[in-house]
Amino acid sequence: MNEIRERLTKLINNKYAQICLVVGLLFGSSYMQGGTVQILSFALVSILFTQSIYILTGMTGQISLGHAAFFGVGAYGTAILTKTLGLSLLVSIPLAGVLASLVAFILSYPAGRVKEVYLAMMTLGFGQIFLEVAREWTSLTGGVMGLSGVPSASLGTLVILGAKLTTVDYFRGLLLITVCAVFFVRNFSQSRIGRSLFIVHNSELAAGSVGIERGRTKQLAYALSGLFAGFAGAFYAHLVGYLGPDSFTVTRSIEVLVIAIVGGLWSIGGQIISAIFFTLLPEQLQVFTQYQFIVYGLILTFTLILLRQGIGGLLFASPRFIRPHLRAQAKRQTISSEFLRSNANPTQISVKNITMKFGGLVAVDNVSIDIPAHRITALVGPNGSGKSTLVNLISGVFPPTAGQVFLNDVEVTGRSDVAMAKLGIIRTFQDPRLVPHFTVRENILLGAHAKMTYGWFEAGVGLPRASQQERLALQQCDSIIELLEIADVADQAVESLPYGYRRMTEIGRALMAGPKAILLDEPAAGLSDVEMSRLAEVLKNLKSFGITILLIEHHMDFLTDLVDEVVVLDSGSILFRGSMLEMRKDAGVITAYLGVEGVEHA
Amino acid sequence: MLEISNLSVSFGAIQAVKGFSGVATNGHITGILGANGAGKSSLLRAISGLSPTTGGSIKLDGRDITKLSASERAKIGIAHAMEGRRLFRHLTVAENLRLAWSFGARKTTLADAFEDVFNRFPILREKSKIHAGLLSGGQQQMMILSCATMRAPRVLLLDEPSLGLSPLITTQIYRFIGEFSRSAEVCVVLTEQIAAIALKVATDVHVLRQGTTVYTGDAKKMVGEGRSGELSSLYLG
Amino acid sequence: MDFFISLVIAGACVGSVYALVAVGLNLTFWTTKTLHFGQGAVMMLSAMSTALLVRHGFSEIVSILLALALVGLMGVVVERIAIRPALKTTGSMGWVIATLGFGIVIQGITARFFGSQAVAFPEVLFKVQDAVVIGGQNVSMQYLAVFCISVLLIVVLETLTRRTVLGTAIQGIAQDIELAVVQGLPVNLIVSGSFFLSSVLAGIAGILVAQIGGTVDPAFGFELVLSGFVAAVLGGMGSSAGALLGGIILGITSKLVGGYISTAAEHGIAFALLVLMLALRPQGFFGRAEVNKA
Repeated sequence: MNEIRERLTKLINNKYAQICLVVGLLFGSSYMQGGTVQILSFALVSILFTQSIYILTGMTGQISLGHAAFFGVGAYGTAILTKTLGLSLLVSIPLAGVLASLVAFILSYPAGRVKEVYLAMMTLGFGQIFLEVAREWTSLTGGVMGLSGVPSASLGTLVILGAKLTTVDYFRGLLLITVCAVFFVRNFSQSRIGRSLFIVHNSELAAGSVGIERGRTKQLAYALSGLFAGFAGAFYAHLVGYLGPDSFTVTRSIEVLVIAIVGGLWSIGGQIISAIFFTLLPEQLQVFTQYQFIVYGLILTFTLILLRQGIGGLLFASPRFIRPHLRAQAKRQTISSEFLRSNANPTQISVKNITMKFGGLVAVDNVSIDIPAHRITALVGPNGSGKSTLVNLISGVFPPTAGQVFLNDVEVTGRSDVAMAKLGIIRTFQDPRLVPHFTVRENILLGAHAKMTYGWFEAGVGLPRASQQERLALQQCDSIIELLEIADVADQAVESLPYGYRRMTEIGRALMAGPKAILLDEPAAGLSDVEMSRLAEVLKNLKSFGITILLIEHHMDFLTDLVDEVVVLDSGSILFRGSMLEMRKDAGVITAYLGVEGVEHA
Repeated sequence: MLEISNLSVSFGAIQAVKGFSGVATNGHITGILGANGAGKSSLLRAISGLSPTTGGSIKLDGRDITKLSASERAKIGIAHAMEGRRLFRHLTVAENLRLAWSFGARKTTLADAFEDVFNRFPILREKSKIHAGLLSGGQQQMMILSCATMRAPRVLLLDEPSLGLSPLITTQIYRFIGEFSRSAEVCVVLTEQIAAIALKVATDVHVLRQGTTVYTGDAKKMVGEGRSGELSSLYLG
Repeated sequence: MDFFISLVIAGACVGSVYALVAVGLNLTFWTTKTLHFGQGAVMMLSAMSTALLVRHGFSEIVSILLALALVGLMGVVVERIAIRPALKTTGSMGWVIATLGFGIVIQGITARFFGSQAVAFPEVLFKVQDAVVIGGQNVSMQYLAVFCISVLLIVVLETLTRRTVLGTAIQGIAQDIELAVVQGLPVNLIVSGSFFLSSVLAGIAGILVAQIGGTVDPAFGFELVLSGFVAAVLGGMGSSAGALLGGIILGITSKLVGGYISTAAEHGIAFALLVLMLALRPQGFFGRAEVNKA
């Protein structure tokens, strides 16, 4: 089965096959019946619309039950601009798209702050509002009676730059635009920004830990999604020539959601097939229209449960999020891991009199430590001693109740986790937080997000600067994979790999971010002996590069021969500071772990 | 009597408990010791059914309960006081106790059960209408233990009962645990990081390290022979 | 002034029904942290069934009871086949879509077999014209009855949750489901029960609204769910008193806006209030600060 999938995937990705299909349609359309051309045009509109769901729901995981609103803004937008203002389509369609994008951007402010059911309700409500506005603002939208006389090829009223367009001309134009759009989205999904959408959805903390701005990322997702939905709506308007509010009800929102889910939320190819299928189906099966609701409902109810990856998952290999040709180019030239060497000054982390209170509980009590550069420091202590809280404070997850944090004499107290990450303080988590369906390589690549600078447009179009930065990042990624000795699984999805590999992947991601200091939360947990010694080697390497290393660990054997210094915390205060050897003999430490009697007999 | 045979517990790909075997008998306390991450909580969770096992078996009074769900195990009398002092924080003490009694074996009337609890821990009578989340750590632990014992269980699992408590309260709690284990037909299994406390009341101990049992034996012997130094290296390396 | 008061009364009445829906949503939210997005279809089904049963000669009481039993059963079913599997396999988004789909199926089936035409709802509670004079105002008996029934049900439910062991158990499950399991609480039974009750409450709400509106059609109920949800969020997910307050505020505000500004804005109010509350005080009036914020 996998073989068939691989072959199908190769086929649809084959440049020649793609060109043949498009050229074939371009020429063939002259010989098709008018009705067929119309249906295919509808299918193209549907494909465009579905792409907007791919971006917002598939990539960013934000559920929208009101996407018909953006579709509608695009539709009414271009209709009004052409009809009332007499603008040319060449201007009105882009403007309509931008308008829809703006509306989506505005929605992202309240919507980006809520999740799941609240988000679903909010988008549902938003869709309703749009519907009401369309129905009531009669002077603008024609109200319930709708807007007729929208320039349309089928009515013979479509004129661009003096030339009258036929339905076939319209179809051809729409085909080319849709093809460009699909490639844009595909490229976008394989860029640093596309990848960041996934991690923001999967784990906001992980995203922040490598410097990804969560809020802004979500806003971009909404804006782009709105743009595509708006374009789809605009093309729809000029296809039908008449707009009524009934075309923009929640039914349409649900329809596009069904198409996306059946196609496979993560599969562009699957969604294209699904869009075509659902456009053609009502035409072919009269019966379908009668039972349409029921069928849609059943599909919605069971598809996510039974066929999680939809048609895409069935027919094609898992989508990948790195541009294949960039990967091939990057492979030709390897670079050493020397780039990890800290370019700027080695960084010392200092906390002074730092206290953290959660309500009445004092988690960290007036702690002052210096964590020096060129050293590996371990943070140990019994349960609840404050180790994780301290790391959270240093990495900026929350600000301290009192006290200060310094990096080399520069005060950074209270800065956010994203800010700290950009300053080079990178951390890992007790439980590796990765994008489960991404490969090891794709996950590690996330670490480079903040180091690259190309934007979403450059990504989608594939401009040279974007390709250059990706290539470099891929080369660095390769060298890190070599360093961690996980090359044999680098292109497998992390969810299918044993724990040790996931842990290594997260460490790889941290390294990719070009850290000045690395904070590792129980990195040895769950590792086999071999993996542990490899990790120890890696850490010693990093130390020689000048990176400051702080570890939270319980695994004493792992720490022996590795750490330069160990700090023991108990109930939020420092109990001991010194070498591993001295720690084992220290009375205070033994008492903390074993209780008073432990000391008497030790 | 609780018999555990070669029990293994995994979380995803981490092996939290590797082939644990042990027996807990009525009227005695079995101690499970070890540092953080040793697998103590995972072991208890496997016994109460909250965590699935990947091998081995658990028998209660001769009956194999390995395939029973957590709900079913609670019904047949396995009580588990989880780590971190889990309780219904937004319910009052009285409501917490009432729930525990209502869904337990009900060997006494509700009124009698309440009286028992309040006589043993008078502070709970005072605080009975207060939300459980507002009690001090020690008071919470008293309530949690009362809830667990009120259900008249056959197996009592206690996860780090002394965590974060002062020595005075710890002594009080352990006195109660000791009395309870002797008075009822119950086997008690408790875990502790701080070994000394558990060693005082336990009959036999198992020391875990990264999921493996590194020591099994009689508790008194361990203390008596001054093997705590060895214990220290088992914890600290 | 009369106009104002009549709007307030209408608003309070319809608001009390929103509150009823909200309380039902709270129930399932407590026990499973999920809601039935197809709840609107459930309301429609209940009202539609009642109307049709009455038309076929059953007495009004029997019709209502049968309709409620039907929707209660559907509630248990949706939890079993849509929500439980979705929670296990797909986490957050799956159940929203699955329950939505379930509602659409019901809507589709109803439309298919009974047509999309509106069906007249029998006058169960009083007659449309029955009115009583309170403080010089003509108040419709139907409105009054609906208000009283809703409030009464909410009070009963609140008493049940606060005073009975079952209610305490539900609260316990809402706080810490693992702990509830380990303490021997019959979690599965209670979860199914909460869905049954939630659907019955929605069914009652559907019948009450149909009574006031006079008709039922397959698209009915959709906005009601949205309003119910907003009422729940306003009041604080999990608080019955909050739901009542939230519902009434929503109802009165909508009617006032509808009367003085425009009917279109009336529908947008729900959304506006939702956004406002989630932005300013996500836990609602009486909720605890544990709302699912991004």
